[in-house]
Amino acid sequence: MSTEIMEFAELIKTPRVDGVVLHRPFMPTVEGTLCLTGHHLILSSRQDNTEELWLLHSNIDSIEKRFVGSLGHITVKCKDLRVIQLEITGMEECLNIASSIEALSTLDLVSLMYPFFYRPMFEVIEDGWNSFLPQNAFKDLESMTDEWRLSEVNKDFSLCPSYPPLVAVPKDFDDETLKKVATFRHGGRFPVLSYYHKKNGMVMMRAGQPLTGTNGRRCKEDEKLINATLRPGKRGYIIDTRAINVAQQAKARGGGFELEANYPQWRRIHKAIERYNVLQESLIKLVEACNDQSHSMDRWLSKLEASNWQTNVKEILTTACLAAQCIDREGASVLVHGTEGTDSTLQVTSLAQIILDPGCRTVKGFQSLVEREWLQAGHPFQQRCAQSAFSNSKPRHEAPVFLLFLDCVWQILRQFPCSFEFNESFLVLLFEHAYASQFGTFLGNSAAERARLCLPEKTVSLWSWVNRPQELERLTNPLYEPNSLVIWPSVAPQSLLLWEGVFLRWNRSSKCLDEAYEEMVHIIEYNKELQTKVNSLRRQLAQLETEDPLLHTP
Amino acid sequence: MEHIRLPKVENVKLLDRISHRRRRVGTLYLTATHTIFVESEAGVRNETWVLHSLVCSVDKLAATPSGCPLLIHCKNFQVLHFIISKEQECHDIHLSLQRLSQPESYDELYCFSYKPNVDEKERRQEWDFLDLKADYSRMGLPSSLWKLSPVNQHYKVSDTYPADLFVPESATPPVIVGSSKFRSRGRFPALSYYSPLASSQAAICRSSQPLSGFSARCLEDEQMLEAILRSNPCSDFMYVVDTRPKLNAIANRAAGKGYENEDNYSNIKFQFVGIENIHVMRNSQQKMLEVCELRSPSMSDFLEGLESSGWLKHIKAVLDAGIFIAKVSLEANPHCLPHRCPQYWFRCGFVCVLYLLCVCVKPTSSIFVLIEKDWVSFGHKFSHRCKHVVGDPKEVSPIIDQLLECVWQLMEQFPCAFEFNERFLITIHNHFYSCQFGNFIGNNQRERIELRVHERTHSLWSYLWANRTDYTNPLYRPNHSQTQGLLRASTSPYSFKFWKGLYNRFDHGMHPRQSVEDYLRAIQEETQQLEEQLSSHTQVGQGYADLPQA
Repeated sequence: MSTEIMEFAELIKTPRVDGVVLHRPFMPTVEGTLCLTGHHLILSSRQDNTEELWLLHSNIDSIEKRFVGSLGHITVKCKDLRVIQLEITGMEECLNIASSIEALSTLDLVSLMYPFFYRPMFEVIEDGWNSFLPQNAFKDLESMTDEWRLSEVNKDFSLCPSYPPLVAVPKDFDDETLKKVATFRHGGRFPVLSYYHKKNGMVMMRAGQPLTGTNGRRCKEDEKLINATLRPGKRGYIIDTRAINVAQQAKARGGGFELEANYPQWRRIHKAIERYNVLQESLIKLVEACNDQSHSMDRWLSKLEASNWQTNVKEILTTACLAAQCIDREGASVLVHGTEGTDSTLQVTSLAQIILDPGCRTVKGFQSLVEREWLQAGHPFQQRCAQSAFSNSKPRHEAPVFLLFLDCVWQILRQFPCSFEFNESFLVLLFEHAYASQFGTFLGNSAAERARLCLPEKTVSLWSWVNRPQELERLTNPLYEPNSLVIWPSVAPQSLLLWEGVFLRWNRSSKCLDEAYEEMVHIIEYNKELQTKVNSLRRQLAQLETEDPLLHTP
Repeated sequence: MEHIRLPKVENVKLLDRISHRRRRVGTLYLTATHTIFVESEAGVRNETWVLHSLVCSVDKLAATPSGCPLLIHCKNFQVLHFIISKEQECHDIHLSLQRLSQPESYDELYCFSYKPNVDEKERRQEWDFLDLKADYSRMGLPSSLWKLSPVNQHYKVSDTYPADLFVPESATPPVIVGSSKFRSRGRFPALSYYSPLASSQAAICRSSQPLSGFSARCLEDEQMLEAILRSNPCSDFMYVVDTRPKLNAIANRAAGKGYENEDNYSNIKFQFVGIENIHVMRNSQQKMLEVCELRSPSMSDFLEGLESSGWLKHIKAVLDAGIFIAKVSLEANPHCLPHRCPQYWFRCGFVCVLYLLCVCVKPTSSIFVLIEKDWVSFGHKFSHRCKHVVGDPKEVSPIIDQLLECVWQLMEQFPCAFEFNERFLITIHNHFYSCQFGNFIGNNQRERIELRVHERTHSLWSYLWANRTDYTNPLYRPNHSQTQGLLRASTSPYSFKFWKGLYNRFDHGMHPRQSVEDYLRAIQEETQQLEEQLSSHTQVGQGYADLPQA
């Protein structure tokens, strides 16, 4: 027995309790045996026709216990926002179970996480760890332009710990220059290519904030690097995702923004996207509002408003639209950054690509986008998704940055329901797996950490599982018709809806909406079926006509 | 035509509502029935037509250097912002439109001049499209318990009720007349809906508030209710649902009206469901529309405005009331509790309709019957509420908007349940106000007969029926589970959405750019063609198979 397994055994005070009653909203009550394993909470009635509950400990955000006599009630609140109740007879059993769950769901050590123990029950057709390598993405770029090169300057992660080993930079800049620029940007995040707009050759870059400090430090190499992306006589846009006062304040801590005097060819625009602690607060308030039982419309609307969630969605989408507009409408290049360049920056650059690039609206394209603009680009998933809306512990680095991105994608999907190859379930799935998963994809905070943890060798990639026909079928949008156009979403408050599929998922029955979806699938499938039949009959008839000379005689 | 001071103005600008910098230049025409703006840009002939009867208000704003702004608000929530270069011209258009949009008599209404290319025989047939008597016989009426009463022939008992009314078999004319004297505007309790199922004999009746004041009672009214109670043999009590907040009902007592004294009525449960009055609703909608009209509101502006308007709260109250009835009726399923099957009795067509929508009405034609019976025939004051003719502004109220919105909210929760779609509701909404069809002219059946509406105008229902493919929900199947029985709608606050499809109807940029519904409809049309091809190919193939082998 390995030491890890030993460790779990010590944490499990009671591995098994009989006669536990499980209550879940909109589902029948189940009575059965509760089992705790190193990574799962399992409740099984041992009857064929009832559903079992398999819950990953890492999905548990908080638990509460209370007693009525000797009957214990444990409320388990999950990171996917589900709330379930367990009734356990016997105070000691209940306390043991509760404290075991508590301990198992708050393990900090990455190497103890489930993905390291998970063995796939399916055949891996295509290893997701190799599906989206930067060198492959770069090949696509090379087919469009020769102005960029793939630099290995960060191959040992020493220049920028949050960047991948390979990044695309302007061709004329050697690695030595990049090293100088890296010292001028927050976290060493020197400007790199995020997106190349094939239609007009404009580009979007992203970076960390420039370290100008209070005395207005400058870096000639940085200025030259970003100027190299401009067409002669053209201006570019720097989109700073912080409000001007926030950017000003950053100077005192050594950060700052590009001064017009030093970047005369660039126009700087400040947008106010909230930072992570504020976003976490917003999520907590929103989920609290959704679970309010008061049935008062005034209370609901005022709580929804006070959560600011929809405001955040609107702000992020507006900024992404702005970036896309600069590129597509103004024909200008864009540099996006906030402070670190790992959160709001990525929301903006990835959403702008959804708007501009039809390729990002396919299943594979979207996976590639998540891989490029989030995982490789160094969004600290493990820190951001450590806790969700129910956690009682004080948030440290938690923030629903990725969830907000998915919410924004959902808003665009709602407005262009036929332009995405994937459906809402795919977005919900990504939300779930970002917070708790059997796959290693979202573990770690950067490419460097993932390399150190040997994730590709030791864990299974989410993409390996998703990209199998049986899963894809469930996640594919039956309405999809490739749309090569730029899609401009409306950001009017009336157009932005609450994402029911995530926030009300467990609060209301989705039966009728699911039925509508099935009905839609049925209409389309039936059409396809007929089409096949008609075509095959046509072929048969044509064949009969050629075979049967009698019919050609008048 | 005498009201048109200026039939044509050139060089008029029509501003985009969201971005005033975007504007179209063209010519504005006034006709007897429409305001028409024709864009004069080379190459495109873009026309905007606005029916005078749809104009809600015309405001002339202070002149600016670029011209004199004229703001037109329509009852279908279209807002037009014109800039007319000369102040005098703006003044003339303003005065003309003010007069044209406020007919002083019914005869000025558009329906009396609307003459589509339909011959007289067809026009008469339009009005035969709906037959309310057939609907009553579908409910199994008359029956041994309910009879058609001649008491209101010539509208002598209640001038706002229809002539044909169903009452309990045991209700004698003196009881009915006595009860009617105790009820506001003589609107005595009469049958609205009767369950056609043999297993449930629950009925929904309706009436106005009693004139009970603080102490008055009326024996005939008590007998009338007793008769209704007895007309359901499998029930020993009934509900009286008062659609007002209890406070309002108490206040009305001081004015000699009020609510039934429970002591005088036996075996009756009284329930207040708290729907606010027409004035509260009017003000609430006004506030909500102001929020819709904000040019680029922040999310907080919008949500705070929506909350303080109270609009969704009122929609929830109405839907709650309908669902209350539906739930009570379900709990009292005679199969389970044969002695507690109650009967329902309302004051207001609202809740009736919603109850029925929840329970049984999902095909398109049924909603025609529903509106025709419970709103048109039972005397909703369309002329006053929709301001068809100039009148007391305090009588205007968006009650009918709320009805349609509740249906829309149900459609959002049950996408497969209704045969009709959102476009259908919006079209009906438009015609409640447009006065293009005769259906909603006047305040009751008596007035419509006096106006000879059936002889002089066209009917909306047959128009909608003729165009029903546009209004069909592709997800609807008559045998789908959502179309069967009660819709168990959620009325949790988060289940209600803002209906931008209606209130921001003309802000095209706000709506989804691709329509799932249109896509599915196109697929279904193609499927139909494929089915035809398939059957013809199969026949031809069969022909080959039948050929004698050479």
